[in-house]
Amino acid sequence: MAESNYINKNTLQDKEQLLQLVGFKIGQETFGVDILIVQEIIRSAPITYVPNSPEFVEGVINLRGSIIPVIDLRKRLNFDTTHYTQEKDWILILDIQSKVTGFIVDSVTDVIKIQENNIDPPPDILVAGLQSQYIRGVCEIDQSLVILLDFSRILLTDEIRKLNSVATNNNSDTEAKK
Amino acid sequence: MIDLSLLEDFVTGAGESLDEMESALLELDLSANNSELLDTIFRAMHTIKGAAQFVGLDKVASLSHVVEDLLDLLREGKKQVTPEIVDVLIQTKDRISSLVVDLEKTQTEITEVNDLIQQINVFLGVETSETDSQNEINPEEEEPDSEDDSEILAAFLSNDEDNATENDAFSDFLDSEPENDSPLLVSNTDANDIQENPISDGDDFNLFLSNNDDDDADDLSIFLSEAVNPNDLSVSKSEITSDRLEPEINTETAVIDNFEIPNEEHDKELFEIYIQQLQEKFHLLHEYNAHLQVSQSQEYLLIQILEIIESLKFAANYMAYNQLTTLYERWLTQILNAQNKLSRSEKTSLVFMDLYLQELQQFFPQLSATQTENPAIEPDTSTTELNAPELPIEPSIVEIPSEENLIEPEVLSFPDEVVVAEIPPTHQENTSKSTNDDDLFNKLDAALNISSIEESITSEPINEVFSSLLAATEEQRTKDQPSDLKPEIKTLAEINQAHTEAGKTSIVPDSITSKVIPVKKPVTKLKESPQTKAIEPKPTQKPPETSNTNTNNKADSAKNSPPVEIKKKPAKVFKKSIRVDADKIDSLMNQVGELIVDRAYLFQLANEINQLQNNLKESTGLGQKDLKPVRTFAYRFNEAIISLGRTSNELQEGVMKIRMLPIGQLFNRYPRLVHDVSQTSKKKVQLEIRGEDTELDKMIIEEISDPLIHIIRNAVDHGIETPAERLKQGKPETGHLILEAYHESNHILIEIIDDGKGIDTQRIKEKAEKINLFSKEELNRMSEDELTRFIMMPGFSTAKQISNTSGRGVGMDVVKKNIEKLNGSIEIESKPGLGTKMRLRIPLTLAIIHALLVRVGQDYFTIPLTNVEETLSVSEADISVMEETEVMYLRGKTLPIFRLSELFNLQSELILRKDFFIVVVNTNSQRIGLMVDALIGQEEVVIKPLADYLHEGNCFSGATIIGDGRISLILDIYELINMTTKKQIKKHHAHEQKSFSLLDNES
Repeated sequence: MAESNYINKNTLQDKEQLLQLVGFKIGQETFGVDILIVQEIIRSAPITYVPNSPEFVEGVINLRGSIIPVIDLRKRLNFDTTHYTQEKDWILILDIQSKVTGFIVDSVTDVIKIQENNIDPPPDILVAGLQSQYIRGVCEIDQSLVILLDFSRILLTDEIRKLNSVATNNNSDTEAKK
Repeated sequence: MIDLSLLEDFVTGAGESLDEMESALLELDLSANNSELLDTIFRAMHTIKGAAQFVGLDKVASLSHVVEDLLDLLREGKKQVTPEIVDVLIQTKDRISSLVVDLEKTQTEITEVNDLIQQINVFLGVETSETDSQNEINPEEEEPDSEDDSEILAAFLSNDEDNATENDAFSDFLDSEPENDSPLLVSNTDANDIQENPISDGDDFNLFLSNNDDDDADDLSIFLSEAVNPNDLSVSKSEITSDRLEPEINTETAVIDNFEIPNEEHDKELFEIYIQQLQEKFHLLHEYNAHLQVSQSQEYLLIQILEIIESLKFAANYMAYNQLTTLYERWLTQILNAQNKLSRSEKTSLVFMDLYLQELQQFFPQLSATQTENPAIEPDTSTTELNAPELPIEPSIVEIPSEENLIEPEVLSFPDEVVVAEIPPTHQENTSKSTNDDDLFNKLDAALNISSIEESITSEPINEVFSSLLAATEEQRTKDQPSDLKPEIKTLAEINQAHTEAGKTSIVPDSITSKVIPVKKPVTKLKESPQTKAIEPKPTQKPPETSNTNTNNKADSAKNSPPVEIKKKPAKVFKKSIRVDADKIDSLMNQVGELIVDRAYLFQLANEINQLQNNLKESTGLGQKDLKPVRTFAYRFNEAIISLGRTSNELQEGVMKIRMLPIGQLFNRYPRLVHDVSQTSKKKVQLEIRGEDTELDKMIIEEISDPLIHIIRNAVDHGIETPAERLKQGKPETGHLILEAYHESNHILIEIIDDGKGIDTQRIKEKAEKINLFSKEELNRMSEDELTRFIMMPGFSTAKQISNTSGRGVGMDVVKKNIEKLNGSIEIESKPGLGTKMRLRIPLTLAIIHALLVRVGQDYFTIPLTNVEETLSVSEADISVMEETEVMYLRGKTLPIFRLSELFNLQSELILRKDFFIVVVNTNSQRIGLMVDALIGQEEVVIKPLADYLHEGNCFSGATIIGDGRISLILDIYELINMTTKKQIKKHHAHEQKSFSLLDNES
């Protein structure tokens, strides 16, 4: 929310506002996240698996004494995981409305500077097999598309809860059938 | 209008006072006419009134004022404490509470109070005639005083005039007075003073007037003509004489109204309110101080005094009287020191109290005025009547060595003639001051005043007094005055020296110099009844006086040695509290948590260094010499870590203690509850509270408040029988309910014990069968204990009727959930016909727990030790399978076993093994065994929260970081057992197709 407010305010005030994004890749797609919510980027932290958690939750890590959940963004966004072999060693630590969460991505590229007014609203059709609800906008840079993700939506607890309960029900159902 | 921070302070302060009052009221309900309780209630009411007046809350003030009146009648025994009165008082308390709530929300007083005031006035009205007759006797008795008084009075007046002109606020007032003051106002004020001191005022006025005529004193006449028209005075006098005996319950408010007519500046108003408050507090201080000299409960008195001074300090601070504030601060530290000494059972001198009071008095001449008004007459009477030997018996309200008291001992040690010779001349000089040499008079006055301070301690012989005093005046005067006096106050203090002296009869001057100041107080004072008050302190007062006299006789030897004989008493450690934002403490707690994790990490590093050292030795083959630096380093490193460990342990304990509060805070809410519930259910219940000093985490106190309410309500509503029923069963009519708290290792145990009818297991059986919870056979197999636990199942109620308070079957379920959320547990012991005992076992703190660390595959899990019953090492042969669940027999009981690896879908070495480790865990109702790969050990861990979506619907209550920086999830055993039960039930379900509607609903 804070993030989108930030954008809106600035678009109103100054159309030429420069926005800095941290670019990262999942598969072939490039994504961007506002640099201001990126707390840090770490590589290789031991992840502790949390049993019975939603599938996309990879586990928790110990970040200097704080216990931070780590979400596999690929799984969270329902990307194809079948050919997925890359090591999960890039973790973007984002501060999303003071919920610090780690997101596993394939790789972090660079900082992308774009103009606010170059951001287009998400298209109706699916982009890269991604539901538009998680997209805040798209932006074309050097003939390639950068997708700005709406992380607050991705972290929306209600949604996670829904997914979670589906998962646990399935789990327990299968177990009951055993 | 009303200062917000002031209001905030009032709200919290009033809340505390009200709580105190309520608990005392409820006790009063049981033991009527307990004077101590009445005193407590009165004190609470008085505090509220004082604060309300200070903040300017009329409704609270007027309501509390009439209540004070009523309480006074009760205290004097003129009225018996009846249930009706207690009811009214409780109502008042509630009303003030709602006013406080109003204030909190809207900053205005909304709730009406007039009906209650009237109600109380009805009680008062019955009694007023009695009060009258009492008052009537007094003037006659004390008539002889007046002549002497008048002289002092006149002297005082003239002094006061000086005083007033030099004081900004007062001169302001004087300037405005001629224009603004109506005769009505004057008479009103005077009437008040008469009320305040019914003994001799009428005559004082006569004499005062005649004095005015006779005496050509410039100042005095100027002052009088300026301030009050003599005609007005005489008019008012006649009014007074007719009116003086009438009860004036609402004088205060009336007077306030009057005073609001002149449009005064805000800050002056504030000042007046401030002075008024100061006077009240000052009076209280005197009272306490006197008790202090002899009382058995010094620590308690000190606490009271501390409170007063603190509020004074606050007020002074608010008024920006920096000097005063520092004075109070110094005072406070000294009291605290004294308290510490007391708590260590050391002797301590409390003489500084007197000194400070004296010093305070110097700041504010008004204080000495009010303070001395009553007793002043008595010593004077005796001196004129040459009754010196009687003096020590004379009761005196003024407890510190204010002037009268100080002179008394001196007088005592000398023949009557001396007294007559010495004292009257002083007065004469005083009265003729204005005509004679002003300077000389001032000197004498100051000398007298100083002597009073000094003499009380230094005890110089009386015959030296006057000569030495005169000589010493100049130097002592400068010496005696606090050097850090604020200029404006300094002037006040200077005049005050003269003033204190004249303060012996201060009634009229007060009313003239400062309009508001004396007005409110006198009313209360009357109600406080000078007679009883004066007599009460007598025994306490006497010893110090006599001892003083003795030392006086012994002369200089005891110079500067304060009289300490009576003051020593072992005391409890004083509890002084500050309010701190809970968040700050939480973050501090977190930091400490980090530290503990770091400490564990360092420990591990130390171990690694030791290992490294060994490796080095083996692999490199270096000699002892070469390795020496390494060894020394490892040793020093270990030392450092041990020291760190010690400190961090203490720090952790300290921080944890910050959050600890005595459970009494919580328990004190319940007498009211019991009172209310027993009233509605028409039962007689006596609540006994034990162990209210037991401390536990503030968070937990809040969390268990509601569960306790429920349990207590149950105990009264369901447990304890009606009086008739009880008598039939041969029990005492009044039910007994005990609320007890105590520590047991890392837990606090709270027991709620009633002697009621107990839990009817038969009814539970019937009900359980009816709702198809279990089959009849199953139920018959169950033990009483298991049956009793049914009451904690959701929706389970044996009540035939749903009453106002209970019967929906929600309560105990919620209680259980709440308690278990705190890692606590409930035990129920019930004996049919004899009573029920509920025992809550709650950990002391939430943030750090003792836990058992276990390993499953590569993962570590933490099991709170509270839930761990025992750990077992078993072999495959011990485990059998029953209904697809692994079970083992443990001391004749079946224990279901769950493999954590299975529950959590983890890799495990278990499959390859024949020996297993089982951790037997329990919540109250159930026990299960958890199979783990390895037991790591017991550790103290800091609970860290997990993200919502990991926490919810999962069986982890949090996570913790263990020594090597790894994360270990903390098992929520309650949820875990729930989960396993659901699994079991589903299996069960599949097998028998039975419907456990209840439990299914839950899932």
